[in-house]
Amino acid sequence: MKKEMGTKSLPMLLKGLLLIGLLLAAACGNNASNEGQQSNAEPDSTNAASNAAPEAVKDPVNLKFLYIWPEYEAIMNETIRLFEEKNPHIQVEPEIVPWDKAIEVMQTKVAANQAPDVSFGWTHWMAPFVNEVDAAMPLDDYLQQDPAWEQSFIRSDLLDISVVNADKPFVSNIPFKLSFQVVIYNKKMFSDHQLEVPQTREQMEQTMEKLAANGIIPLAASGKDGQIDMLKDSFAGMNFVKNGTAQGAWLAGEESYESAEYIEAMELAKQWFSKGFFGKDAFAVGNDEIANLLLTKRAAMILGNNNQIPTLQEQVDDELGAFLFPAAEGLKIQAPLTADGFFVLKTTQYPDEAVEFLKHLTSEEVQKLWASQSKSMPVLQNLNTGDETLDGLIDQIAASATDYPVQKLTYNPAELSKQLQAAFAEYLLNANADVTASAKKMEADHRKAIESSQ
Amino acid sequence: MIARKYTLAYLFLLPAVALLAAFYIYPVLTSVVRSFTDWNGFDAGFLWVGWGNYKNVFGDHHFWAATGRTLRFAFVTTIVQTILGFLLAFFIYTLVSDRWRKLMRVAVYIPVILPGAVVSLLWSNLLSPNFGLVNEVLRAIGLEAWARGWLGSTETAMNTLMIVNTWKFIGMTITFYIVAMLAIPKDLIESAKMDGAGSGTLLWHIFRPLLKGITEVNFILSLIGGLKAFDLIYMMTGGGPGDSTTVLGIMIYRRAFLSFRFGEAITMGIILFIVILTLTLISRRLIASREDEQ
Amino acid sequence: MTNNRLFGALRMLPVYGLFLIIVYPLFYMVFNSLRTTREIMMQPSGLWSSSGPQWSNYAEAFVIGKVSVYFANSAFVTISSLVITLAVVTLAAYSLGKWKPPGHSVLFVGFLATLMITGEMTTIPIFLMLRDLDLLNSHPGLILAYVGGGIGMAIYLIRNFVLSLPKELDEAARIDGAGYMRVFWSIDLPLIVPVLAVVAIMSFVGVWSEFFWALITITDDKLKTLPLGLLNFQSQYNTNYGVLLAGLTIVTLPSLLVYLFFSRYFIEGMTAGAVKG
Repeated sequence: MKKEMGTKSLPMLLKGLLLIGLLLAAACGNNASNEGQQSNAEPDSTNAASNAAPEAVKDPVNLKFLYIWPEYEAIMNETIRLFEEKNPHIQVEPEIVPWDKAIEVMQTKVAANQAPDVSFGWTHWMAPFVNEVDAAMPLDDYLQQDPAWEQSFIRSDLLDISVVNADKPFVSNIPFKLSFQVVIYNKKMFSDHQLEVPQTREQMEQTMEKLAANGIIPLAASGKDGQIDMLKDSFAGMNFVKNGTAQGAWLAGEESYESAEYIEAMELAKQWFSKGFFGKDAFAVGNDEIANLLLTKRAAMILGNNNQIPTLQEQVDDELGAFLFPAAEGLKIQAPLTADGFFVLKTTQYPDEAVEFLKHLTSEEVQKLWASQSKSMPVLQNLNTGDETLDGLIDQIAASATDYPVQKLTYNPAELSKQLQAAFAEYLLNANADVTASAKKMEADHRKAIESSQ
Repeated sequence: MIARKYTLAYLFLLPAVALLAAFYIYPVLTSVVRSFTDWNGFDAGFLWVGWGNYKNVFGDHHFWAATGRTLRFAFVTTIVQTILGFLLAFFIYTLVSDRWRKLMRVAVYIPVILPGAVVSLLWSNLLSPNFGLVNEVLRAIGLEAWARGWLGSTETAMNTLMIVNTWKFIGMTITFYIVAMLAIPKDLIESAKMDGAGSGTLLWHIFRPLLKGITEVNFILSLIGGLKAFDLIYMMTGGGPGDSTTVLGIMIYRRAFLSFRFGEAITMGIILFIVILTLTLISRRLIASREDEQ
Repeated sequence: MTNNRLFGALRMLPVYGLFLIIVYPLFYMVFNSLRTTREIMMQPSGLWSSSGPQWSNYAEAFVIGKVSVYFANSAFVTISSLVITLAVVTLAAYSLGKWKPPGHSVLFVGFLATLMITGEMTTIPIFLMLRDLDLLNSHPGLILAYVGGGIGMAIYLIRNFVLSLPKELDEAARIDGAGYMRVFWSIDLPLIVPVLAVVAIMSFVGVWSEFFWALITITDDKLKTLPLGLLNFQSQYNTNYGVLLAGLTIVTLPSLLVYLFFSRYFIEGMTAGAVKG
């Protein structure tokens, strides 16, 4: 009896649901047309308001603005408010997108003509937006017209890194806050083991040997997130500079991965890897776990990003410090000029206003705001965060070498870097791997990437 | 009468077919066209390249390697999931304790419900080489030598991912099997038991044949899911270490959003689709033919 | 006597083990959501917080994740999608399975084939279509996308189920003069309740935690769904794990509750019917 009741009342429920379903479907149709009418109503009212105001000379401008920091939403809203105060006819419409989905979202929006006017971009990763997709607006004219702005940055060549290649030599991105790889270390562990901050790569190696001998992970790095690859590449770069071969094909990123400089870099990286300098199972470990290793004092140093320093310091009692990865003996450290920045989309209808917003973001007022509230490292000269470690890094950057040659790739390195990571990981993980065989594989992929962007 | 019968039938089908056309047929046709171009996914303009993309893809050894990995991933997870799911379903079905039987029936589906992001986060933590519970347990019971970076070694990464994938989805297989088992008329089972059939005979001679239909459903859904696998793998290993877990889903994603060679990405998607369709149709034939023998 | 009890307990070991393996990650999430981020990072495999349960994580998650607004949006979007999907697929699958009009096997394979298509092939065209229909940044548009996305699996499951329905009941009713609609409504529909419950669960869970479409179509903060709120807890370098896990628990809980509610219907519903496998 009970079961019958159960099976009878549920069908009633279902019939009801079916009816509701069909009704909703009809209602949704109505809603769609209603929403359409509503959104058409709004621009009219704004225009009416600005036409009514006697002083309104400029047409209302709506800037769509895309960035990736949900944790700084409050600060960014304040930044926008300050801008809108100074420019009452401009409205900035912000949108936050997670950093790892930024490209997909951008792509969908651009394909549908919904692209933002100003978007986040890494200064050193503009190649896709300049080469592949002609999306970034050149900013050189604006910079030339405003020399004060052009020269306000902490290093004269900070803008240079967003000049992607010789075929399209324009500044594509304005830096906003510095973001670069640093070695974050535990000061107490260093003093416990009578260690000093290494000044050269060779000293770094000795420091790591000493730590490893004491059962401490010297330099925890994430193989998964490509940090070991970045180190290997910087070793290779140092080799090329040392040998004087950092020119010609190298400048276009077309050097051979089978060259002696590159192979030596790979072998050095493997030596360090095999000695356990990066921690056991570096490939299974992501950025978060690396931070954990530092916090639980299992590692003395980690390869991290300057933006991690304030948060990490909060979580641990020992004092943390940071330094730039040292160069090989005889070479000066090349300052990392990578930053989080913003670029203007070519499809924008308001290029002047968009650049005004960029200028606002790099104004002293805003940079100070961000430095004090989020501990981000400003891109302007003579500004400090008030944090000893970060300011020490700022000084290092301001004082470092400006005359190193910089590669300007003629091709899109994104997928290639994944393929190289794969080959390099195989080389590192396989005890009997032959370095020339791996280099050959990597060079083959390299050539393919170069060819397909011709 | 017949004409009216079919009118109603087509009417019933109308909304679904309309959605099918708008959300699948039209986009796929557009995409097929785009696969013959060098579209980068952003710009409105593109150039016709004919079979160029297809040639590039078929000539790319990375593509073939990824295909091999994908097939291996899909088949191993599907076969394990179907067989293990069947056995576990039977195990739960025959549980003596009423409370536990009902509890387990409900509990097995829970991993399926957990969002992919949650599963990746939790399992990555469990498997972490330095802090993970899995390794801690191994060390605690004296199997120190087995403790390792499960997701960080080229030998174990793929297998580990297969285990996590099975963990997440086997609940669906088990649930479907249990529901089908519950539908088997009780008298059939009773008479078999009275004839002296033990669990093993019950399983093999009674349950297995009657559950062919649901086996097909389970097999096909697992197969399709396995061949398309992307989310879990991307979030847990990103395709690494090395490229030991770079399956087709990941390759397509990179080609589209890292290389901005959308035309080629779509080409790979189309090839993958044909592979899935072919394997599915073959599987259905194989399983169905055995069912007809009944 | 003791031997039997021991044996009984031992036989239950695999059950306990299985249960633990299935459910542990869930417990892990819930328990860790009540610890501080610092504790989670320092002792990832621990379960308790030394300073008592950190309910503040939930309070923070509520505020940062804008749960009060987003929850209602998610509820509306998910339930609407669920109801419409059920209506559409039930009619279609029944027609395919019962009446088998000309072209039914092609259509069926067509619906099944939708499961085999990758996102890259469909995202942009569908997005453009929604844009052209002026349905972007709206709930109806999102609901439409979700319904469209859900028909493949649902039709596959329901149609197979319909195929196995006994014909005797229909035929008896037809002989008594009932029309096809009547047979569908009063006789067969109650019988397919179990599979509809399964589809309801899958549909709910699928839409409730869906993230990407919500991200690209909804830009208006008042319209966002719950998973988008989760974004606010994560950043490239500084994720607050305690709050994140609290947020994830908040998002996962409704799906679990819906499942627990509906699971009765398909497990017990099966035993009431006389359906063969």
